[in-house]
Amino acid sequence: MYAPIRMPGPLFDEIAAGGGSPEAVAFLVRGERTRRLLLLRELLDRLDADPGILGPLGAQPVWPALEAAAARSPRQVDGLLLSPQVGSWLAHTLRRLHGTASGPPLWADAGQLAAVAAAAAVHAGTEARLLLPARGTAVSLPALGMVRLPGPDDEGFHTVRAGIRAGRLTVEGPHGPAVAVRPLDEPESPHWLPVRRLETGPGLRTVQLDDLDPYRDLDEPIAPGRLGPDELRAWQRLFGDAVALLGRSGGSDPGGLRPEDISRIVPWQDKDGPAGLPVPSSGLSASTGDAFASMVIARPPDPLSLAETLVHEFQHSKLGALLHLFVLIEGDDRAELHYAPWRADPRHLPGLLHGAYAFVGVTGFWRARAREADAGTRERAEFLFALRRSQTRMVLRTLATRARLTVAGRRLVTGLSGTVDGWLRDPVDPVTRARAGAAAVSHRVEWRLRNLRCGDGERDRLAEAWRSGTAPPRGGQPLVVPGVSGYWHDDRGALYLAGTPDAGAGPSADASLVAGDAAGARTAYTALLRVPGPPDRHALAGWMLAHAALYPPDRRLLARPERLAALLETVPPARWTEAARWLAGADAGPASSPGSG
Amino acid sequence: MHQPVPADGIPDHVEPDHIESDLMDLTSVRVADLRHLQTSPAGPRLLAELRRARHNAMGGGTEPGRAE
Repeated sequence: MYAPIRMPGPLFDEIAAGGGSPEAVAFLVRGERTRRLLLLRELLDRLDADPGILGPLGAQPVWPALEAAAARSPRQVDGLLLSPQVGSWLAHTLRRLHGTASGPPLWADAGQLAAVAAAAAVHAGTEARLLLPARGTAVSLPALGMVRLPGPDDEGFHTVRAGIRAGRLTVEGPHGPAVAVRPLDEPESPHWLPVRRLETGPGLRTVQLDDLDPYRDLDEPIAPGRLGPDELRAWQRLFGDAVALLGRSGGSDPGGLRPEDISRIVPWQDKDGPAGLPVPSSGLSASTGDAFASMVIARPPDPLSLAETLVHEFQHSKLGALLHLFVLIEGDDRAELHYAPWRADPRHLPGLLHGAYAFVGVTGFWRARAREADAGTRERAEFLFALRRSQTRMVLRTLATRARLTVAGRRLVTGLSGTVDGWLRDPVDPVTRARAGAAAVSHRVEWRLRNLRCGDGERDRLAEAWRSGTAPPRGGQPLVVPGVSGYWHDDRGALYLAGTPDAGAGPSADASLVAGDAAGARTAYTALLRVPGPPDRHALAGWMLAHAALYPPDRRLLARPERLAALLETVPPARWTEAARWLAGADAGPASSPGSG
Repeated sequence: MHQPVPADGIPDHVEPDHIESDLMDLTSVRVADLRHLQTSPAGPRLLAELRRARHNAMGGGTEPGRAE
């Protein structure tokens, strides 16, 4: 019997603060190794119980091949086990066996075990003869590369014979002669596509740039998508510059990153064309707890964006590894009720925890950039630092008050809160801080208008009180009604970030508001809202923000904008200002000189 | 102030500060020895997580369907 994993408190606290020394991250990696061993054993047991799963691959000495390689070269085979390719494949295949995932023929997914054994034998220099799954002409060796066999590439799944000896792999396909390669050092050729690697620095671990492995996406296998030479060079340049940028600050601090801790970048591929996504792909990135330190990224426009994305996704990896070790939230029903300032829709508490952890990293990243001398990025960095620290702190408060945190979960949230509380004391230029604050309020108000509604009873009582001239009734719990207006992009937030409207762009309601012309903005929003049909939630939020700017005591309305929205549905636009003032409980006249509406 | 500590570095009157997982520590288990474990050591939480449909994609950007 083995003892449970015990994480030393100081290492846990480093991760809980949002950063992590090499020792703390190494502890998480050791936990991932244990998890991978457990998953591999589970798969082996399942295959023992039902050998038919392997279909045409049949009963073959896969385990002896893997065992022999692991016995001779334990360190190399450990590295293979810890590769993101093996992590994703293992988890996907076990989900398939449990019926909670889909994919190619089951034997092809499960039979990738033979490819793992073949890769292990290549690393160890041991001898093996195996049947491997192939997709069309492609035979994938995890974290090594892909053999391209001669013949038609029909994308169908079939078996091929492989022999491994002294690091040399020979594969016999159904068409044409056998292909022989040395995967550890074979250069690229029509028959061998090695995994590409990005440099992180002299003597440091390289990062895979994986455009080949079938399990490189988030779950189901996908076809290889070799990058062209121009795209490859663009990635190499971007990554090199991002590494240099990250090297300017401490890799163990919250928001820092040691690039060599990243295992793999998967260039995001537009599998379904531009129409396949509900949002623009720029800025898109994702990761999965199944593949520690791996991330799918749409190539960003500049090194700064890539560096931020690397920090963001590695935060997810660290938290994913921590979640593999410890329960952090108990008894959660995953009800999607909560405000996440970086999202368009309501989120459940585990999602909120992931967001908070990722954005502590992002906040620390921008804090470091704000302290650098590069004036070109300093203003943007200061804005994003101010914005994200306040948003992240708010989410941490939600977690502290609404989630049933375990002892470990409480320690994590306390650690993160301590980091952000320290950052809240950092001085930020008052104008930038005000702009960031306005952006945060703008997002929150629009989010509430798009995702929350007053109950029918509250709406009726509001309307009746307005008509009868009595005091507004107390508010009740809003109803969560996500998705009514679908995905939305925070266009106003982008304007606050830009600071000044695009040159040449005509005046808009948003531009007027961001520029401080609240009266002009309100007039423009009112015009937008006079269009028949359901009110435009973006314009309605803008109207409320403009109103609150004109009547500062009425800012209290922004805490529950859905109440004002419910009231305004029953009031003609000419009386909206009057209605808003009534709901806010104000008895003073206008603070400035607002127009009507 | 000098304060003697035991040879293992942990004062005997202080509980060692650690957080305990429900996963067994297989650090000493080699891949080659995996099949020699008496029983499958995967804990119930690990298996329950695996049996759930995949939900833990995490992402930057703001597209729907991500976990954060």
